[in-house]
Amino acid sequence: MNRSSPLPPDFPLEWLAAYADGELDVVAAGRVEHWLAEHPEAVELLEGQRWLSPQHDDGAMHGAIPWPSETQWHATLQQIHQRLQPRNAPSRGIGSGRSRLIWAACIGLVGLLCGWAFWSLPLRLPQVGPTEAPSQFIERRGTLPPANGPETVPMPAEPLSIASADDVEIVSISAEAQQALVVGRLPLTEALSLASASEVTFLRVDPEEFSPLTTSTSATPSSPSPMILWPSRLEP
Amino acid sequence: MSGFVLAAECRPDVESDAQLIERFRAGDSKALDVLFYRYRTVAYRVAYRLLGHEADALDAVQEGFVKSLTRLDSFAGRSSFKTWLLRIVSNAALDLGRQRRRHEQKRRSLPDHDASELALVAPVTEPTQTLEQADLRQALDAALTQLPEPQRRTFVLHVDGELSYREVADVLGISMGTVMSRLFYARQKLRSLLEERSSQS
Repeated sequence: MNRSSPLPPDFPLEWLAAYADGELDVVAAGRVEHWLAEHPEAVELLEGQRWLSPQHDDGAMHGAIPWPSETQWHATLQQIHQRLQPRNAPSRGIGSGRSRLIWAACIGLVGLLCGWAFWSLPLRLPQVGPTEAPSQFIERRGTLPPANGPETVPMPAEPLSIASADDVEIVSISAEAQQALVVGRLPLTEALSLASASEVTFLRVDPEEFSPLTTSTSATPSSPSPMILWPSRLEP
Repeated sequence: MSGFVLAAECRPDVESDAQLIERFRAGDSKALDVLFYRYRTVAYRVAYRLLGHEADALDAVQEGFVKSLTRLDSFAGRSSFKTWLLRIVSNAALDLGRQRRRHEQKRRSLPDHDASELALVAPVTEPTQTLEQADLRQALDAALTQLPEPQRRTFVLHVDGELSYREVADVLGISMGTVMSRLFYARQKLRSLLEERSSQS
């Protein structure tokens, strides 16, 4: 066929591609065949479409592509696995392996500290509430007042500061003392008086005498966090 | 995993793509192996035809599998996994091709550019291939690069990706008529370029 020869404009030539690829239905394929019969000069055009069609590939196109070795394929698959592994891993709660160990260590440490605090400071928190003015109580130093009814004190949520009676000097304490100022002789078997840190004023705090349980060395605590005064050398 | 086991797993009647994807979602990495061996050939052909470079084509295949399996929510089973994969592989290949062209342009602009370095970028001919096949492949690769990108991608997805017109239309988001038209004119142009090369040689 002469490429420059005019082909009838009423026929969509693109159909030749679809016909060569076997993509037309029977009716449309029949139309193409009918048209080709009337225009034999277009057969070469059809052959050009067939030559590069997967329907008529003789292996020259696909077979000529350089094929990776199985080693390369294996490496590619492994890389895909590696890239997908974190995403495809099923959820494993708070973590696995190393993070689980860290969690277990943290929980164990907290438990150990709680146990140590419990056995070292046998507090009887429900027996709280001074019946006398705190100032009077402080003046008497160690003559702890009896329990005053079933009044309870909420358990402190923050970490407790622990100091011995020698570490601080109590100047004043308000009557509204409700939380953990503990004064008494170890073991604390008598009734306890509790106050929050905001209700006492520290004149001096020796950091060396502070318990390792706290990192606070502030002489004037800025928060009303609970505090336990450990009266280890309190005179009766 | 042995080749025997893989061959057994790759039988298309064993498990559908949808079943394998469900297994993969449930954390079964073996399902990925089966999908990989099922579609690696067609994915590689598409990537290679768009890039003309073996290592880059493998990178595009890897990218295609990773992205297609990490974006399964977007896939949602509206098309087949194969068309979904080839869409992503062809996108990745075109992106890699653009990157490589930019890289080559930069190297060419360097004053100490060595022509021998560029030779490394060209596809390496397998010694076992016949000269005729290698010549044809190189001629076809060269001709493909001269096609407009939409025509090239349509041609490659149909011929090398073995996708039907409907599937190509779905992958590219175009009509069947446009697929037909692009293929027709792509082949016209390829034939013309190959004949021109043949007459020159």
